[in-house]
Amino acid sequence: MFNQDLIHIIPILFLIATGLLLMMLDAFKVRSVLPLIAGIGFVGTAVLALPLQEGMDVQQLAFNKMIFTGGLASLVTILLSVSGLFTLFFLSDFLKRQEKPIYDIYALLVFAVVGMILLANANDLIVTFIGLETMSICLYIMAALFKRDLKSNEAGLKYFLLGAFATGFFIYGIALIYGGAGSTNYSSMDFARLQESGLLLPGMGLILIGFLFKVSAFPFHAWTPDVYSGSPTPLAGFMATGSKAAAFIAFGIFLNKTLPDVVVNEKIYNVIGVIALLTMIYGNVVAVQQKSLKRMLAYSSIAHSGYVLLALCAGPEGLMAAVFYMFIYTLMNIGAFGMIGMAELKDQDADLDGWKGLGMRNPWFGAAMSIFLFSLAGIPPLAGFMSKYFVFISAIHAKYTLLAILGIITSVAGAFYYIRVIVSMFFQTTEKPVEVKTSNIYPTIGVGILAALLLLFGLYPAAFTSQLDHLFVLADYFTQATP
Amino acid sequence: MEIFEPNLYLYLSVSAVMFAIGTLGVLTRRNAIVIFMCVELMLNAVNLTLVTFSRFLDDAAGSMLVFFVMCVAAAEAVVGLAIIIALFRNKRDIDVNNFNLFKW
Repeated sequence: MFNQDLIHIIPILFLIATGLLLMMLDAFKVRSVLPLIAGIGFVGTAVLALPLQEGMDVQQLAFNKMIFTGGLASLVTILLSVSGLFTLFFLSDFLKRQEKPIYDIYALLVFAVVGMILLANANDLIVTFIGLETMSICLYIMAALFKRDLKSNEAGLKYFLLGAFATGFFIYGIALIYGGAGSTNYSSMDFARLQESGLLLPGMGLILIGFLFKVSAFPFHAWTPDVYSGSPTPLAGFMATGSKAAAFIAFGIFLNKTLPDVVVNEKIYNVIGVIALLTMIYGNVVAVQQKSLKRMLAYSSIAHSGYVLLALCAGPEGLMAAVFYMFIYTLMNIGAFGMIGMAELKDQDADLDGWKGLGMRNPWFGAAMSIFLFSLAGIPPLAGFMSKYFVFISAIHAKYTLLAILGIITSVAGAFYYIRVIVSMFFQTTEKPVEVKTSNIYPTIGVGILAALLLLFGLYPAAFTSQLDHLFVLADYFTQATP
Repeated sequence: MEIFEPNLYLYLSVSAVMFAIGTLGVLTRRNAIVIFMCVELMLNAVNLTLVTFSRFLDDAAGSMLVFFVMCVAAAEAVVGLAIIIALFRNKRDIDVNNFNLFKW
């Protein structure tokens, strides 16, 4: 059945081949085509992940039950390719304007997405670990990309040291679970033995620390604002969306595969629920006090992690809601970070002051940014509202009503700092305004597509959700949840 | 029911102590390279746990994971030392307390 296995992972193989090709082209100095080839790689991966063949639409296991393919796994593969693709739209222009011609980044971006796809499709803790590290090591380099820029260095160092520290906890947790359950594979773990050995709680706790760090949940969030504000802006958007989406989906699969069979699952779900609440409150409260737009979005991404964590408490339905949430979040946050990058001058941080009046001077730019910010705030009729609706409804179905209500309150309070940016853009003026001077057309195209998708998803959710159910055989989950 | 042999606990304790030493090192030391070495110590402690379980469970998956952990540790060392060198060139300092460009 080896051939069958290879057919199942064709999207990943295609992306790996693209990455290798990019490295070769860079080595032979054929550099102008690199963004184009990376883009073809991402689009090709997404197309190959579509259920083109008979029987590929149902989720199944390949490679001796090590990874998921088809069904939800295909949807996740498409999500992650899309996050890479849209990062690409903003990247080449940003690097050109910063006068830092760096060409390794395209191969890195592709390999980071390979790691994410492995991470999010893993049915075995070994694959989870390898995917997580493939992704993280690429992200450390991305954070420290501008090697003569002290801020970028510092962001890279912080991300690297804390990330490696969290990896230590994560892999220790895997080792303990392996010792207790006798296997690293979710399909062949012996949960009775795991509980009896007393390694369940230590192992679970350590793995939770690893995951909570990667998704920047409350007690492990401290690296997020520093890393995002020091990293090149479009790549910060990539870190906030793709890597979080992959980590969240792996986290959700881990919880869904292990917790139903153990006795203490109620307690663990409650712990995650409390962490979710603290993350929402902390992210939203601190984001209000930020002057720098990148730091504001970093804290907002912490708050969004809280909403997704709340969904993860809600079992399989919550996992679906989390996937949908991350899909929409990817579209809107890459757009928001990308637009901040478009208005960023050389070696200068994006400050809220400079953005005053930008919407009046450049109405299209202001309108598009408003769409992203309103969507992040969760205001209907934009897609951000639909994704929040799915998350809170799944939490209510799982009897986490109080948490859902508190989450909705924090979400409403959080709308304040998004709307403040819009108010600054349209109703205030400043002495030192920033200008949007893109060097090519791609960022504009990217912003246009993302804004249009957010509007369409928000206005006609049912059309999209029924397609999702139909294409990926998701037991009509999205259709039923759509209002 | 006795799941594990008594001997197992000796190996596990050694690795747990190593892991704790590594963790404490990361939390208390301020030199970026020493912190990184402490992280490596944590990963090696995990490797010891993994080979112990692999031996006592009579299962090869644990030993195989050890190789992956080593690979990851090597890849992390490459990237980490490169970042630390880039930082040292710009600042002539690798004390993590002095890296405080970002304030909230």
